[in-house]
Amino acid sequence: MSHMTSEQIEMVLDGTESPPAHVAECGLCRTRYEQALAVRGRLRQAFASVDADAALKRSVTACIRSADRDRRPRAVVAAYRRIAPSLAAAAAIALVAVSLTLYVSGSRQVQAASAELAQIHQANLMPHAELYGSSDPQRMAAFMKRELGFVPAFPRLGAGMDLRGCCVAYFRNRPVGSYVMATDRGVISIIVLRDKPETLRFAGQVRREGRTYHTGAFARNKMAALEIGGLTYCAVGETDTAWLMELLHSLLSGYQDIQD
Amino acid sequence: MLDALYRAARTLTGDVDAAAELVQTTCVKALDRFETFGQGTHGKAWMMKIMRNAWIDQIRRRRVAGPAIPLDEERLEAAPVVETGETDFVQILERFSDERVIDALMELKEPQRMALFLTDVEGLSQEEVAEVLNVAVGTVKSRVSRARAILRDKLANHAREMGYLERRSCRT
Repeated sequence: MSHMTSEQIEMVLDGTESPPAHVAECGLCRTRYEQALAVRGRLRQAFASVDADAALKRSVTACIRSADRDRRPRAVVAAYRRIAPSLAAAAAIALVAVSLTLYVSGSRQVQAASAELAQIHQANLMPHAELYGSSDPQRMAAFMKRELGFVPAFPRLGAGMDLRGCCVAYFRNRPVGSYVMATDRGVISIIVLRDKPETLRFAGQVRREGRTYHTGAFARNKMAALEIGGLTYCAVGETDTAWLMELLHSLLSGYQDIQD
Repeated sequence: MLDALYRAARTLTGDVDAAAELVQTTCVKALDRFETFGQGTHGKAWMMKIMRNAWIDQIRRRRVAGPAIPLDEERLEAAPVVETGETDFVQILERFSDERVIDALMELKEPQRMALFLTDVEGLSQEEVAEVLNVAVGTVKSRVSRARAILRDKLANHAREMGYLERRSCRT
């Protein structure tokens, strides 16, 4: 009499096979099967209380509210009709949000660029974010030069701001620089791109003191981008856009241009 | 669906804020791939696959000085599978808080963790999990089996620490 293999237990749990008669006769196999079943049930029970909260639901649907509902309404309906029959009813909320956002916004890249930038910032916020940190800006510049092939402008420090470190992230599958600053408005990521700010397709543009700032948002994150010296500096943080523009202005108007 | 996405994001990231962000990103990426959603596509599995790919993209973006986060199967530690044999283990499980159970799951390596989560919590079939994780069905079976055994042993060890179970020698 051979005991059940782990694979057999999985197939029974999966419903692919019925429990063999051996289970009733063998205490060991019965215990293994019952324990596996119990672990599955307990896991399912534990996650039953984990739900998306109202804030998340609001932020997902914010895309819908902010969209131009009159722009492509027919496409929205068509898209939803195409997708709905093949989905369970439970899928409706997210997929309506998805299809509405896609077809109403009229530009997927708008959200995609903002999402990628927000994602880079979010990664910088995580406790285990691996930043290259140094008290010597020259060393950080050397790191950026080595990783990116160029040295972005580094901010002037002080005035309530600290440079936590820098890292190389990826935007549109290309390496970009990012340095992370601690400010009195929270942690701000400055992402340095070779992409022109226009290609980010942010929602707004603001002319200020002869410079054009591009402004956008994704979820809780606000963004402001400014092109200087052939590079686009995008500030991302959970604060207001005007403050981010001010930050960029103060950082880059008298930056330490560390070139090799 | 949003709840399912959020649960999966929590399981992937282990962080409330990062999970919320990942859900947002997943929805946006789903827009870009909307045309890949064909007749008969399993909606939940489709979204889960997009989410996992988005998470992997995010990890890859973090290519910075320092060790990379291992994702491949080969880097998995060979965790010993211990048969506890305690008949009262099933009852003991009910004494753990939901948070403790989830924390124990989060201690598993990501490939095993997600395979077990998608199978046990979200109820996807092994074929669907294989599609989401981009591995063979056989790999899913072994990951799920191993993950469940490790989780069971972690909870059993915790039960012993808490005095729920007697400390006794285990058969290996």
